[in-house]
Amino acid sequence: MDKEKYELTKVDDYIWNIPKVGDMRVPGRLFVDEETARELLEEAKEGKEWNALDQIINVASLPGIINASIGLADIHPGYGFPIGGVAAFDRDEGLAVAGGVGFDINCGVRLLKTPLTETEVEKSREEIAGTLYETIPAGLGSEGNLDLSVDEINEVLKKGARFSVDRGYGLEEDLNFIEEGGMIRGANPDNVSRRAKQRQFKQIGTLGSGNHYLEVQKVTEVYDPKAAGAYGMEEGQILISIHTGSRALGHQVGQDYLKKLENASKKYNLPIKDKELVSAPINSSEGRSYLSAMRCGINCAFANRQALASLTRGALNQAIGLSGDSIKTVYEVGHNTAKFENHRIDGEDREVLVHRKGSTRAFGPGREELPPPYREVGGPVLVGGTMGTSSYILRGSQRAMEETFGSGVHGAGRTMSRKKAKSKFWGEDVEKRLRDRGITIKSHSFPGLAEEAPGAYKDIESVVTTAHQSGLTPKVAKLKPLIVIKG
Amino acid sequence: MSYSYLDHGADIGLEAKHETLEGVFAEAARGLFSLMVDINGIGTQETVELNLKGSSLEDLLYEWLSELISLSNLKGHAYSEFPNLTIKKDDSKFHLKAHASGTRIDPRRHDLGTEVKAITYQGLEIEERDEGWRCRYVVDV
Repeated sequence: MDKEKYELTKVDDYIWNIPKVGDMRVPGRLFVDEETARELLEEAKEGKEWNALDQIINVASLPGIINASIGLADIHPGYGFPIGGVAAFDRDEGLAVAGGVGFDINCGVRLLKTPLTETEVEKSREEIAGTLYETIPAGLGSEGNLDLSVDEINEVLKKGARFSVDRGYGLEEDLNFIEEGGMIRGANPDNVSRRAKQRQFKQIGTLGSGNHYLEVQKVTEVYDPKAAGAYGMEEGQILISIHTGSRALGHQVGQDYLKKLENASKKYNLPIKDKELVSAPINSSEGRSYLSAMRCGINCAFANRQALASLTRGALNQAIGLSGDSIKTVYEVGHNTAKFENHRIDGEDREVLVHRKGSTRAFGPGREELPPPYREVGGPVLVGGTMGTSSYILRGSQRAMEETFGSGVHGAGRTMSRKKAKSKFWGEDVEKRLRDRGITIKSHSFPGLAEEAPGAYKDIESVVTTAHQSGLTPKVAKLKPLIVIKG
Repeated sequence: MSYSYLDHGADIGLEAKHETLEGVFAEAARGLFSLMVDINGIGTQETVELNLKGSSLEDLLYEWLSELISLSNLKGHAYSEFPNLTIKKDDSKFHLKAHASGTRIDPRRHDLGTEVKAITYQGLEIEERDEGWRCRYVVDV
């Protein structure tokens, strides 16, 4: 695209439009502050090879896209789609786009609440951190406690978190507080390669590495007492967040289908703007097959986080004698998914396929997909910070339903490359600096620790401020990390 | 012959150089495994065989690195040596045959780096220049 053609028009302080030009079928719409809008525009105009604005524009050119190609406050360049990108497609004329989900299918956050006080955590900080570190398989080459067969993996892919509960991992009531009840329908394991299944044999109940983590956190501030009350949260409470996804199975499904959808794009004469923006019509055999395999990945992530939640309960029981039943699931929600959902579009109720790449479902009040206790206030939006920075609980809103197909931010966007992060922050220094701030960190990899140093991420505070001010996902509570376990 | 890391936005970029095409494929693979463990002196107790094809050299490089990630994850291996690596072209496709040798990753013995989720097409390139072959690629970690 010619440089002059890049344009952003301000709608209000937190909404920017990219007018429809060239082969864009819809405009782009960014829910960002002025500084981010300016940066995105500059990077595109400079011709930076990898920039999020071009990715928003590429997504806007895909057939069947509805309303707008959307970027949220944590937007940064991804593969095909930007991270923090949302796009909904018409059920009949739209596309299933692998880049709209990515390689870590249904990566997401499980939030647990405990009856502990900060004093109790302080008293046993080392025991808790040490036991969690020993109990939660994490890092390269780690294996879970389950060693599954192909038949058992097929059950995982069909049943999701239900599989783990049936195996004794966790409580029946957990399932009521997971998206889709922890089991999405329409997942046929026949659409998943044997290699993908084999790679997952020993990976249920593993955290992984990179930006995945388990954190013990304290609620330091409540902004919305009504919503916090509905979620059963209060100031001073001790929570646990588990951030991970579908592990190797999801990665392999993503890889397998990139090739298949490239062929489908050619077969159906669909635009390939980017080799990672390949797709297939939703109603083609290739599209149906991808969506089914992707849902298997969604269930795999549900099963994984359910097993990890159960291991966490076991660890706290072992460390300080806390009963597992006293640790409840607040919510679990993914941020790399594509789902059929009903949305009101131009006054008409329509079923559309909503892709959320690095974006959390943020359904507003009244949606029946939400657990009954949350329906009055809107669903919890779990926003992960980075070790050393705060995390936030936001809530979905009617505005999000109208503007972003019920979608919100998912975390802090990365601003520094991992290479730069490695040279700037040495892992052991990171550990010491966090310790000085009251955060205990246990990591399986010192270089990994440097790569994930908090300074390497975009400021979570500015992301959350924008998410709040835009009215899409108002703030409910702020969480400070006390203990961090990383791969 | 060498590999090095590149600045690449949110993820890790790698660059490999070698006088020969086969050599640059091997260096690219060493760069990949160096993200996971320190590959110097890890030994060659474990060997797997690869037999791949691609419609272009870029495509073949993507297949090569993707298959190595997948196999190493499946078997819990890291590879440092790539003997018997040959690349041939017939009418329409490039064919690669190779062995990959290395060791089983053991958290007690190895300093661990990061898991690699996938190779991406972002900025993936391979070309012959005056001084030899050079390739670049980005991994999603």
